[in-house]
Amino acid sequence: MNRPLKQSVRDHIELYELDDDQLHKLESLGGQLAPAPDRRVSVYGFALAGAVAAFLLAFFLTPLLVETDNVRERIAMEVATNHIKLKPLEIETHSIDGIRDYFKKLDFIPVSSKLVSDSGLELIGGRYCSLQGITAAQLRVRKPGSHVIQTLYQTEYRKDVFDDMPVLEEGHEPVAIYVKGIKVNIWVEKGLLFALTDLPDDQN
Amino acid sequence: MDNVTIFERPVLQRLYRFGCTLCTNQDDAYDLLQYALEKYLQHGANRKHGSDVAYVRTIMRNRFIDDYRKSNRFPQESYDDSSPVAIDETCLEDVVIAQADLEIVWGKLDPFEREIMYYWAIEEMTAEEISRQIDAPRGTVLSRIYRIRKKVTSELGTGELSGGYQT
Repeated sequence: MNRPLKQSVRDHIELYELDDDQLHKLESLGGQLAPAPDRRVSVYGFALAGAVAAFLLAFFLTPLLVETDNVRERIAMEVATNHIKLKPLEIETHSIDGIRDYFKKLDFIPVSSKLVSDSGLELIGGRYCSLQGITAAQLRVRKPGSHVIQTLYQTEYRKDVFDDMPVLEEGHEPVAIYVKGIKVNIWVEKGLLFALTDLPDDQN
Repeated sequence: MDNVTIFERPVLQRLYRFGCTLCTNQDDAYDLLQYALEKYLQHGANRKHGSDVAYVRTIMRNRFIDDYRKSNRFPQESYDDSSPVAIDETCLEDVVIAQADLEIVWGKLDPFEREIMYYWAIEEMTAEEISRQIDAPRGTVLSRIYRIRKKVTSELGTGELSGGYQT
């Protein structure tokens, strides 16, 4: 359904929300840091400059070392957050053909995953989404007869955005990241990046 | 506005959404907001003039530009400020789009264009007000608005998207 651009932009932006934990942290910031007096050079100024310099050094060097891990954690966080929101499906279908028929505006063709098929998961449907700013298909899957819904992302595997990820065809195992009580498996298969939510092992 | 106000939840959510508009990545947006609030507490809380929200937004924007310039992901497109642009922000008012299509178009806008969309749609600013907020000539803002409209309508016009626009 078409709507005014302004309304669509509002609805899109207002989907972004700080969670309670983040709000608490930011609110406590106001209590922890007292406003600094203006135009006053003191030992605190030098200490602050040193701290800022150390922070900047760490800020620019650390990403070089932990970039891959950060990307994986960011993907897991985004997938888990959207899995919890469980926004309405735009298409309901049990077949990959039905998915392909609907997702025609993507820069890739949605495919069946061997890993997902081997897990005995069946498709329920999907919706347009994005992962780290790249347009993606957000699919829902479940085991037949189960009420537990899992979220499966598929998107174009861009190394400039996602860095190195385990490639199924090269014998790699998916990487598992735990966030918000959800296990997120991430891997590359058939040239696409996949991310699948699951319950932590102790609940399976 | 005192500290209590800037740290109220609706204000924090508003600033976070601005961060998400720039970054697209929610973790980066959170980090950007936290950095800006710390800077605000260190240097801006004693200011006597101007809006605190606008001040924090400016810190976020400047930091975002610094970071992205360093990571070479900063958009290098140039905007011709002197070219006559016979439009204003109202030229976006007649565009209609499906939500799913907006999600796709949104990913194709650069951070500056998304920022303009934020000020236009969320803060209800005019081109003049946006130009003051981002400290750029009004002509630059109008050029970006023109480019946004062109991008949106050309995406709609390709037939790839389901929506359309009215003129």
